[in-house]
Amino acid sequence: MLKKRIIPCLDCITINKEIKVVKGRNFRNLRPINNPVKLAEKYYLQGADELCFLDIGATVESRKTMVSMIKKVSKKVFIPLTVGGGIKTLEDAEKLFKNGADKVAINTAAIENPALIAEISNQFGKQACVVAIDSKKVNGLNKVFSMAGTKEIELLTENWAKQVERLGAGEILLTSIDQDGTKQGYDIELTRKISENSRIPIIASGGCGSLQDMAEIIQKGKADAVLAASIFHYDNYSIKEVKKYLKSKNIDVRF
Amino acid sequence: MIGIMDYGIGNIQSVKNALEKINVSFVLISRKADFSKADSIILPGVGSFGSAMQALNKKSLANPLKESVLSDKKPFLGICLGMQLLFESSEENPDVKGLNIFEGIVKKFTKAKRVPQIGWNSLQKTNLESRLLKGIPQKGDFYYINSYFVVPKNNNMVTAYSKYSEKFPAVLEFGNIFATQFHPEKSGNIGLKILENFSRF
Repeated sequence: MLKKRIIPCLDCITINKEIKVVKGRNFRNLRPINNPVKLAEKYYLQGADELCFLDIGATVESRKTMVSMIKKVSKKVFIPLTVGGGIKTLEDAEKLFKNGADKVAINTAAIENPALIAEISNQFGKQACVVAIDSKKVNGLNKVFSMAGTKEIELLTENWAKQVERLGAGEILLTSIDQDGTKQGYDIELTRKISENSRIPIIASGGCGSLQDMAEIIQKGKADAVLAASIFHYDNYSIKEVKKYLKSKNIDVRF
Repeated sequence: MIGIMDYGIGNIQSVKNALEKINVSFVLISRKADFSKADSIILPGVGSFGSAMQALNKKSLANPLKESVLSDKKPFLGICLGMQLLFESSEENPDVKGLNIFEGIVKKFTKAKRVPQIGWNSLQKTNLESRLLKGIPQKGDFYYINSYFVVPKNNNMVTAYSKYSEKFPAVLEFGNIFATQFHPEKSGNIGLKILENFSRF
């Protein structure tokens, strides 16, 4: 049986050439909390199924620090590593793959240049191309947002999800901007809708605050994998505790 | 000394990192002359069956690889696509011939809701004795990324299966030839253990 995956997410930002993991709320009020290499190693040893690193500054300088950071992580951590933030070209992606990334997550660049999805997936395999979709409710509709949640796009999340699958995405990382950082739970309705209409795995993100939230987004939201940040960063729960709980709810996880 | 096939396809960095972690030395094999440096061979592979065979043929690596494995009997480990390439052909690119070391074909998951299979899946060991899986628990979880799986003509080489939409061979062992459909280099400690076992052959 294929297991449901638990993926700690490390939002990274570069301050004075030093890379830090940060946590915010609704994509705002960011504060630095830890060194990503150390944190990645900790989660690996706790039993994380994959790790996701997102460069939320996404400047030219921070992309360089991300590459050297991922190189260090990949020598210590032997599970799949996804890296996102500021990837605009095939060359950006290639640099990350050569330095130890297994998958890249593209968001704004996929919206501005949808051909990039096919380029990455043809060159490095479908599994290496994750399309991140940031979704926010506007007048009752699920709208796609780009530029780290600041720019509304004339696209419905449901339609964009289908389109990226057709273009060659291997997975969708679906984040609810409304729920992000609130610890009020994932957007179950949105995730289920996207998941039921999709033939590629859906990673749910945004809003995890409790163990129940994780069980619900898997069982009711039909997510294949769950991404969470704060509940791990602030040591509310270890990954093992999360998995024990999910197992008690009859969800198949890896130990 | 392990030789890693470096034929310009997929990501060999993670295999290099994993071997470094378990303190096993390696060389890269990117041309015919490199084979003599290696006592055993790892064939990693991500991407399509057709493009991988094309790359091996273009660099004139396919024949010396077969020679090393079949005549020199060097221990060989195929990973993921590297396992599939051992067979005659694949539904992925029906016109392309594989390495043809084993009889059988490579088929697509057709009954699955989600393709590729991405994630951790458990092993079901068979009754055959396994050298590669020494010290690996019966239902050990490994990381898979695959849309296709092998269907060997001779099932006596399958030392473990796994189940997605259908049951498929996860580990093959036949003499000096070993192969895993999963990625040991991305499967945590239990995966490193497999590479460690192989490094002793």
